[in-house]
Parts: sequence; C-alpha cells; structure tokens
Amino acid sequence: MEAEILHEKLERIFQSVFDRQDLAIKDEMTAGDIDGWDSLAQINLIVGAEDIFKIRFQTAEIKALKNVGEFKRLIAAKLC
Amino acid sequence: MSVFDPVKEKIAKGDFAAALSALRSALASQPDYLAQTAGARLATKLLADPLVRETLQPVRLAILGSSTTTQLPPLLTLHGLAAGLALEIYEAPFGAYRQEILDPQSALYAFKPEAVLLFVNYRDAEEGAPEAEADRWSGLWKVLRERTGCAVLMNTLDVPVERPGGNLEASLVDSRLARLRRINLLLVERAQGGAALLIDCDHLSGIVGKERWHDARFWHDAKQAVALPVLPRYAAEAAAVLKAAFGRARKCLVLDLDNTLWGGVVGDDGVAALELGETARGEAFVEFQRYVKALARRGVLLAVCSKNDEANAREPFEKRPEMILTLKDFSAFVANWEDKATGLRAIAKTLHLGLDAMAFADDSAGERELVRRFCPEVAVVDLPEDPADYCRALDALRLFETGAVSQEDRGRAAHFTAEAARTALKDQTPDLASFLRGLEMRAEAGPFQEVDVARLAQLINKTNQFNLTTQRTTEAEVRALTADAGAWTLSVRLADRLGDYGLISAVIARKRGSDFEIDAWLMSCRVLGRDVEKLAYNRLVAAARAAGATALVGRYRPTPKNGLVKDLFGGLGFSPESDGVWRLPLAKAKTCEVSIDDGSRNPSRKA
Repeated sequence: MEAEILHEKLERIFQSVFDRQDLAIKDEMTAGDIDGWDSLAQINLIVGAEDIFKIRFQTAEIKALKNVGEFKRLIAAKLC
Repeated sequence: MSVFDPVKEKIAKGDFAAALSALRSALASQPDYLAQTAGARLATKLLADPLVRETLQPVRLAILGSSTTTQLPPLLTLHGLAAGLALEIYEAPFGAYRQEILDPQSALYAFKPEAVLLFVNYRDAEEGAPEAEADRWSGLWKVLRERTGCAVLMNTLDVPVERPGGNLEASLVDSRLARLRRINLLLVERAQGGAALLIDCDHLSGIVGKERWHDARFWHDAKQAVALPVLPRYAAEAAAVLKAAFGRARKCLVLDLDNTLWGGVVGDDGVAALELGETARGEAFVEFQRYVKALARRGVLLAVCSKNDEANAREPFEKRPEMILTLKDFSAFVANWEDKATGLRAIAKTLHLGLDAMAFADDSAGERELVRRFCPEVAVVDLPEDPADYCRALDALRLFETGAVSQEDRGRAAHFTAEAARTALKDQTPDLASFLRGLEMRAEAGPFQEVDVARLAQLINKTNQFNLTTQRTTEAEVRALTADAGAWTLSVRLADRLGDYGLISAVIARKRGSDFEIDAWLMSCRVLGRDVEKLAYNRLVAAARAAGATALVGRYRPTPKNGLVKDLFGGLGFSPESDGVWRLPLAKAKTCEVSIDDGSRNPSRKA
C-alpha cells in the first residue's frame, strides 16, 4: 500500500476515534498532542486499524505504540 | 460518508421520528464498532432533545460487570434509543458487582435502578458444583429484586473456544465445557417466573463466532471479556431484552403477500403457478411461513397488507395445501389498491395498537420506502433478495422479544416436561417401526388434481431413482389424466412432525382386460424408507379389486439410475414374467403394514 493511502486511511480512523473531522495527523504526534488519547482511545485505534487494514496486532504491540509514525510503520510492516 | 449520515440529515431538519427510523435502518446494517461509537454520539445528541424523549420510555439501568464495561454505556444508549428506550446509565466500579449488590448502602441502590445488567462471562463460574454456582447467581438476583424491584438481566456464560479435554469435554460431566453448559441450563430453571431475564451470550457468541467473540489479547490487555468488534452485537441483544422488559417490543407483524409469503404474483400468475414448496425457492417461502407461524404461536399478532383484489389474495390460503399460514392466523387482512401507509394505519386502528407497536415486512423496496416515509414509527423489515434469507433477516432485528412468560407459554413448558417424562419411560432401544411411528407421518393421497398439475409434471420428469418406468410426460398430458375416466391416478403428499415434504409420489394405472396395469410409479427420494411405497401399493390393490381386475401387473424398465427399485415388485409378492413384467394375482395380494396416518382424499376413482 502506498504511504499516502495508508496515511489517509489512518487519519480517518483517528478522526473517527476522536470525533474530529478536521484532525490532521503527523508522524511525530503522540498521546500528549491529541486530546483524549487515553488507553480506551488506544484500543479503539487498534480495533479500527485491524478492521480497516485487515491486520492483527500482537498483545505487546497494543500498548507499545507511542506515536503516529510508529503506528504507520507497524501497519506498513504488517501489510508486506 | 457514514451509515449514520441520513440520521444527521433528519436531525438537522428537526424530523425526529424520521431520524429514529433512519437510526434503526442504519443499525440493521450492522455497522462496525468504530462507526457505532460515532453513532452513539449522535444518539446522545438526539436524546438531549425533549421532543425525542417524549416518545421514549425512560429507564434507569445499572451495569454491574466482572470485566471492563467502559464501552458499553454508549453502545447500549444507541441500541436502546433504536428500541424506543431513553437509558440513564450507572456503571458500577470495575469488578465490584457482588459488593454493590450485597451492600445496601452502595451507590447502586442510591441510583434506584429500574433494571440491572449483570455483565458477566464464563470466567465468573467458580469451581465446584454447577448447582451451587446457579444458586449463587439466583441468590444475587433475589437480593436485587427484593431491594429494588428492578428487572434483573444477566448474561449466560459464553463457553470459550479452547477445550483442554478436546471432544471428551462434551461427554464428561466435570469438564469445563460440560460444567458451563450445565450452569447455563440451571440458570434457565432459576430464571423462571421472571427471577431474571437472560441475555443468551452463549448463543450470541456462537452466532458471531466464538473465535471472534473471545479475543485473549484484549482480555490480557484491558480485561475486555467480549472483543470490541462484536460488542455492538451484544449491545443490540441486551437492548432487545430490555425493550421486552419495558413493553417496547413490537406486537404486530404486517406482511405483504406476493413474493413475501409465496413466490410469484397471484393476480398475474394464478394460484396454481405460485412458488410454494416443491422447488428450492418454493421451500424457502414455506420455511418463512413456518417462522412467522412460530411468532404467531408466541402471541405476535399477524396482519396482511397487500396490493391485490381481496378474492385473489385469499385464494392461495384456501387452495394451496403447502400454505403453513391460514386465514385464521391473521388478525387483520387488508388487500386493496390503496397505498400501504394507509393500509398500516387502518390495521393499527382495527387492532387498537400504536404504529410504534407494528413491524412491516415486504419484498418491495418501494413499498418499504413509502412506509418509512409516511409511518416512520413502524419498524420496517428489509427482506433480502433471496427468500432463503428472509427468516434470518427478520430474526436478526429482534423485534418481537418477550420478557414476561404468558399463560400459554407455561402450558407449553408443562407439556414439554410431561413429554420428557414419557420419553424416559420408554424402551430406549431404537427400532425402525417405533421410529417411524414417532414421526407422526400424515399422508394425503388421492387422484391427481388440477391444482397439482405443474408439480406432478415436474415430479414425473425429474425423478430418476425411485421410478419404475421412467416415462416422461408433459403438463398437458398430466392435465388430460385428471379428466380421463379410464385412468386411475394417485398423488401422495406427506408431512410429519418435523415438516411438510409436499407432493412426493405419483402412480398412474389403467385396467386393461382383467389386468390392472401400473404404467407409472415414482417417488421422491426425500421420503425413501418412510412406507410411502407400501401405502401406494395398498391403494393399488384396493383400486384393482374395486375395478374388478384379477391381477395387478407392474413393469420395471431398468435405466442407469433406477437400480434402487429393481426388487420392488418382488418384495411386494409379485412374480416375474418376461421383459421386466411382474404379476400379482389379487387373490394372493396381502396388505402392507404402514406407519403413516392415511388421511386420504377420495381414495379410489373408477379405473
């Protein structure tokens, strides 16, 4: 999958989880940068990404994701 | 783009009844988890409006969980709203369900719940006897009811995927699998008389697939007992039970006729050509009628709303024996050329029901849209393209849940108990004769009838195995036989307590000289080993005697497919002659024992 498409799809997941249609994600964004990025939102992001990209995260990966860039790299790796 | 966009549009226009209707439609498509969390935000917005709340039943619901329940309140609010409930929710602290119930000073009791949901899972079943476990739960129910008078809802235990004992777990009473199943059954017993309303998570987890329902990662990470992608299905199920408990379940199902209860259009195609039983598609309509009949037995009112001449609309009920539903099953019957919104209002008035107690099922998308537009309170069932999917589509909406147990239900339960006792008394050794008797088979056998011509021609032309002469025929020839005084014909329908097999056998014979000759004899393989051939033989013997013949003569013409019946005549006492001809002098003919109740039409017509 092309990087831009992955970015757009992930952005829509973030917009949906945080209920902000105008939310633009950047690689360096962390939980501290987005209002409401708590452990519940984290799980929602994981569930959303698994559903959209048809991938499966490992247990240890659920909590390990610290920023948007890492999230994208992990998804891209799973899509190979 | 979201499935909830139409809801937003209707809210923006201030049309709340239409918004709720759009919300039900959106949820019927089972949107994914993230979409539903977005839908839940819309639900909260809708609920904030006093005009919306006016039309809803307010319910104070406490959620007591043994696992994480954080995601439940929004989803329950959403599905509750679609079910006509305005939920106010109290969520007890994580895992503290026992303390909350047992402590009279707990926040639970300060909340004054009208309903309590025990959100538990299989991990909550403690070691020890299933009976003790069931008592533990019913004890908690009792405390709750005594202290609050609330409705108690509890999950059945969602039997997990893994079985350390493999298949043996199904046969060992102390395996985890068997224990959980037993506890679930005991909960059913303890729940009688309204002690609790069970949300059948074990069934639901099977429907969505236990491998999806149980996701160990989310249990280890966040103590999510039900995987989030399927949690909306749980919320829908819980809302269905809640709406029944608070009287918001639908009470009446209004049905279209053409292509809903049968295939084809009675006014155009004629009653005999309607697809009903016999073909695969025809069977699907019969199966749907059977589901609807079961709803009626449970107390759901049925009504017809059809664009038809009334006489045409009634004709299939009067003339087609495959119909499961009878005119008596319907509390209202509207067949005319007015629009269906008008028809639905008339039915609601006749039955003294609000439109919000009605559901409407129609194969036509146009009619459904019209009803949604002009009667938004009515729950509209989107019947899918294929009639084989009708039952599931209707069932999935959980429209007719019932909370209370009726007098009749009680009567039925008593009947089942007595039945179980009788079975236990019986000799358990299986033998064929008692098995066949136990099927309670009923046959309807008699001369070919005009209404069956199409099916008879099809049966005669498609039956290859149980077919003695494999003689093909046209519909016109079959029709001619119905009027041919020289021909003796027999068509047999068979039903048993498990179902209706329809028209499954045909025999054509003719008296020539002093012989009664069997020109065609065939039977559908669906009813092999059911004594139908013996029943036909008995009829042949009786008819031959009545016609004054001295012998019954049959012919076996071998084909690559009909080896099954090469010994049929021999087995019935016929003697072989040349060229596959078999002869039975009637003086020697015996009657066969048959385990079918032969409720015949006019048994023999002149030969």
